[in-house]
Amino acid sequence: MTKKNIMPVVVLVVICIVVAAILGIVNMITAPIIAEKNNEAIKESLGKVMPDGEFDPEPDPLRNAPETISQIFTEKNGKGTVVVLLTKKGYTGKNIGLTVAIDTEGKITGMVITQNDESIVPEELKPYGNYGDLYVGAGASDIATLETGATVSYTESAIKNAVTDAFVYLGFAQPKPEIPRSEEELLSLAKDFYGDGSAKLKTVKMSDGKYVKRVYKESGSKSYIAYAFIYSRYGTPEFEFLIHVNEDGTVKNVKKILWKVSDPKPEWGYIPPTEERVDELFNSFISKDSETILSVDVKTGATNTSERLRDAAAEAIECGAIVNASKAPRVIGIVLLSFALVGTVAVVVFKKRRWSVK
Amino acid sequence: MKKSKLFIFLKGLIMENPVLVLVLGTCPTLAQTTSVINALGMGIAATFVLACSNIVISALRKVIPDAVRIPCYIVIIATFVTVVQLVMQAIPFLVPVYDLMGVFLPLIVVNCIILGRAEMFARKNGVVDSALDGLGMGCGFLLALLAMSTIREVLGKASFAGFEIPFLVEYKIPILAQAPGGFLVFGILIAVVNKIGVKKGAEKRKDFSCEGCPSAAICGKTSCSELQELTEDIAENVKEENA
Repeated sequence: MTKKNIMPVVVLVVICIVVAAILGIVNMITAPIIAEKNNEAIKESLGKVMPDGEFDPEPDPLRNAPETISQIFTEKNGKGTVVVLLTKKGYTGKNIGLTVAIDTEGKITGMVITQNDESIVPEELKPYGNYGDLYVGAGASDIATLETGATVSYTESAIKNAVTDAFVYLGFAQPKPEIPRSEEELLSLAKDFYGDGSAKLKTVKMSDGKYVKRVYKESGSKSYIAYAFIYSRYGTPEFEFLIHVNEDGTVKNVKKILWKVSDPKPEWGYIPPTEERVDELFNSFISKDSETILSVDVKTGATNTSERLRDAAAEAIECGAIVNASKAPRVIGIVLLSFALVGTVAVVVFKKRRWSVK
Repeated sequence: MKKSKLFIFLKGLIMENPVLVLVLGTCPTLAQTTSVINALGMGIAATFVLACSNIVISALRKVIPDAVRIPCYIVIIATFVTVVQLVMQAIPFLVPVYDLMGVFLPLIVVNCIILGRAEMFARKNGVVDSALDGLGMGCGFLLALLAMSTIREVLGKASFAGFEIPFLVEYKIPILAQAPGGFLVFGILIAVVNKIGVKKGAEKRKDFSCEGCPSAAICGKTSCSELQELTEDIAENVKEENA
């Protein structure tokens, strides 16, 4: 290494260190001010969502709270609870802060957005007045279907999920299950679809799957049934379907289980696909493999939903690589590792003996 | 030719206006000129970052090796942008502006004007000249943003800095406040500045090569052939080093 090669690295590192120190100092100065300002904003929001409420200055301690819940204030006279929420799952992944007041019957009595780092939300929601007011009176079961008219669905979903977290934490709702039906029911549906009710299908949980949540497979066979469950980008309609994948990785058949869409709202850009369109789409998946399925027409009507259905089918085909993966490489790996371990031990022992002889 | 300090500062306002002549920083210009307040916030923040980064880069110009100059510039610019972000969040009356600017504030880091001035001017000139250049270019950017946002807000929204102009409400042209209107106003302003530039005796832009570039004098390369020679020299040097 010459001086010419080292110098750039040294200079860049030194600049980074100096810069980090400067930012650290600025952060030390501004962080308490920003925190105090945020606290003031939260206190102010408590008065907005529950104007006649009395609260302790310190929030209640949190126990196993989801990450969206940052503070909870219980009203002293038993009028309800105010939950301070912070979510980072909006359209741009920026912070959205909410303060929600929930009464003792589990209804929202007030809601305000206290922090919004997503420049997109205020403009989008301006025509609908105070966005938080649209949630007043809603209970846990109303949130999913609450229509606000906002078109930035990612952001709205993040807000709705955070509010649902508050309901769950306060005991007004059950935590959302990973899949919307029981394992037994799904297995039975998969068996029926497999075409052999007596087949011994093994359930494989696809915990990392975006759409495919379960795979049902008979031992010794490479053919399998994948269960896909998706939320639509717009609102909260749900789709559940089973995909039978052949041994050669092509789609044998697709079966709809659940089909739920909201009413079309063209003025908000929401046009759900018709049932005929979905049937047509599912039929076009048949005989397609992981490559050819990408050529399926998803441009005709309800593009976003169609794309998701297509992607779910593609994911189902790709599951084959996981569930049908050969165990041979793993066995070879274990054998090689064992040899390496035994070899290392043998060498150490041998050398030790030689040293002791000397 | 040695340029006077005043000239270095003033050239950024119109003659080499970064937005309307050099056509740099178009993205924040179009996005942040829907209202005067947004434009003011963006202009002041960018001016601060531009001036500070020019000063630091100029002061370190003999220390920073050529091979890592761009990463160094980015680190320095990002530092000032982060400082602006933290300060804006801490000062109560700036918080609404910070919220309005949204993602465009952190995006100042990759603003072409700032990186462009660092590369074209600050790394070749002294601290005072670089500071003046940064301030001048920043003020030019601010002026361009204010001019554009005033036209768009007054004619497109019938308001100025959020205050409604009642007699214009019925005559507003909403498209000016939207994206196509931004391009329209941008084009018109460029034409106006070009016209003023010609009248003031500034050299008319001949083409889009080095000769036509208003920064050719600063860049030091007056023709493409000279740039070509420089590129060949660099390539030869690299070959020699590798050999």
